Amino acid sequence: MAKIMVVDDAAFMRKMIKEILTEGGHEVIGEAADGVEAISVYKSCNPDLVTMDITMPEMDGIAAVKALKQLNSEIKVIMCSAMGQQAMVLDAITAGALDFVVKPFQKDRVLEAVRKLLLV
Amino acid sequence: MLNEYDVISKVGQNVLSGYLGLNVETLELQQGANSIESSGVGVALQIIGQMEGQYICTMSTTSVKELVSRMMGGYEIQQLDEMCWSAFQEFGNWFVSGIATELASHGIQVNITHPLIHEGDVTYHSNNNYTVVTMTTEIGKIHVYMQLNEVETT
Repeated sequence: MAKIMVVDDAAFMRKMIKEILTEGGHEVIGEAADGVEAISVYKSCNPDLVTMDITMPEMDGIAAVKALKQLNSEIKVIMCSAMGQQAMVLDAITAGALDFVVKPFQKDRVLEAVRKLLLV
Repeated sequence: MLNEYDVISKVGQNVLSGYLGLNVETLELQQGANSIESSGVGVALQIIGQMEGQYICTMSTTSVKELVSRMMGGYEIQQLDEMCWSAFQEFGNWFVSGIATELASHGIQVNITHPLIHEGDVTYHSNNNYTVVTMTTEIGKIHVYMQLNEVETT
């Protein structure tokens, strides 16, 4: 079981991801609706893993991952975005994300990504 | 050569059929129009980047309730609340992100803006014609209007 922070500007997506993770036996210990809030929540809850949207107001997910890497170089981030084109995936991985899940996704795809990252 | 009708049809199948399990029939390409009238509910996003334009998807209120219900795993929707609107925005996000991915496969890099919802009688006017694609499903007709224009470079 992992302690996870969910970052997405859509309340529906945060709820959906939280339900999937909870059903998978994990605990969502923090939520944020943009990159700026993500940095603040990360500092206060120190999760094992982060799921991160890309297109968000204030600070997007790519910039947020770079900022979180400055706080913890070993941070485990799964990007969860509907923007699945190769250039976007490459940007996310270059920024420091370890996996990329394209929305809309099936429950198993998310849980498998979490399982793999917990082994790293 | 980019065929907007094919792009919308393919992404519509992926999202509506592939993910939400709907039976989708895409009607033939309709005559483009430079104004859109909607009396139901719609979600609109801008496309920005190497091509620019708009995407608008409209349907009846009943259809939105059915659509959101499927997105929420079958939960029955009596009233469209904030969470339902967030889900419908996300539906627009999925659809247009799929279009962006298709454009990328044609070498066209675009990004998208935050989805906006409209409810009730609305008329959109534009200088350019929209490509109009109607998809029939068991939850009702889903209308997609899109216009994409080359970005003029100086």
